[in-house]
Amino acid sequence: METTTRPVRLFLIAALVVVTSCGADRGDPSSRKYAVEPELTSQGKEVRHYDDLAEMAAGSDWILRAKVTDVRVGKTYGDSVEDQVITRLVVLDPIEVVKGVDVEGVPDTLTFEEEGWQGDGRGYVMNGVLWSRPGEEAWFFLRRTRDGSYRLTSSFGRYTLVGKDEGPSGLEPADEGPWAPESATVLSDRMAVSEVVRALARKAVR
Amino acid sequence: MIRFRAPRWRLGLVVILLGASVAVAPTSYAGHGSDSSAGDPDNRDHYIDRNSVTANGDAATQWGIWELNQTYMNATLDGSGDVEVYDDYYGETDWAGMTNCASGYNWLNGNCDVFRVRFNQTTMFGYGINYWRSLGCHEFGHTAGLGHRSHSTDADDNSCMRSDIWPLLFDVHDINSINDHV
Repeated sequence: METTTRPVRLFLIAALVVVTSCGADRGDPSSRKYAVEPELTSQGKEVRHYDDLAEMAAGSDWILRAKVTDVRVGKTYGDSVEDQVITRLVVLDPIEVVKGVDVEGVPDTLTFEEEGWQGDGRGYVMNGVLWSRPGEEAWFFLRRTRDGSYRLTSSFGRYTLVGKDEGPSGLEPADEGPWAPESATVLSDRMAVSEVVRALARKAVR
Repeated sequence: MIRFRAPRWRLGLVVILLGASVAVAPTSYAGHGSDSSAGDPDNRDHYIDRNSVTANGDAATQWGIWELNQTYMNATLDGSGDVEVYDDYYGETDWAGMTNCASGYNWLNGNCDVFRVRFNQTTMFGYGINYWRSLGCHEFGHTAGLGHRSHSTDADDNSCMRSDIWPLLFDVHDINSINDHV
């Protein structure tokens, strides 16, 4: 009896774990629970386009190598739960600032906004920008918004050096956008990428 | 008897885990026809609902509907339940428009029951009517399963599915891609 029911029991437990892990992250609007993992993929038209890294560097207020230390719930935009989007505040510990320091000095921490949750608490990824996660180290290209906060300069504005999803952010970055002109050899080599970014930043701040 | 049962539950577990891994996969990288990150429409009919949109959002919606109706899709404002449209001030995002599947697309067939389209008035502030129309064409293209185009796949620069320019219409490739998949 024991030998025949144990597999069934294991199967049911596994199924229960899977079902709850799929559903547990969905918060209801009233309690404002936010998913710990993105569940939805979103796509849309962007207004900033850079054909190469030099252009993206020139369009960035800050370029820095930093470690993600924390992610918090950010601002809520939109009126109803159905149309709301809620940003994620990503806290960075700067390691190396190659653009921006001349103007503002090196801060102890720097925070930027990324997408996001819907009003119902479901997490989504926009245009291939996977969520930043504590412990990751990356190059960040950031632009300052009119309200003084920061966002990635474009969906291709992050190159993760250490983390779950290493490499450039964005949809098909090897084929489109500012990383596309770089060779596959460079793109797969974080040391080479770092040298490219430093060289670009030196030109951008001249 | 035990020899038969063990493979069965293991197979069942593998199937469930594989399904779950697809269901919670973080993203898929879009190409074009039937390859939107938002998923494919679950049928040819798009009953579209505008949720207190502005005149610009309405113009974008009407234009998107017109363009979808150049394909085998049947898009209409007479009804609701397939596409929910919003426009609001969503902050200084990179995106002018966002399309996703409201509750995630079906991981078995990639289809979406209800799409959600958002037009960002913050980003689109100061843009003229034809930019809004182009945006409507683009976002409603996503609801028909289209992904983004680039100059390498749109050398004559006439597809509204481009992100870097603002054409008003689907090109022949867009239309064929929709028709091939709906």
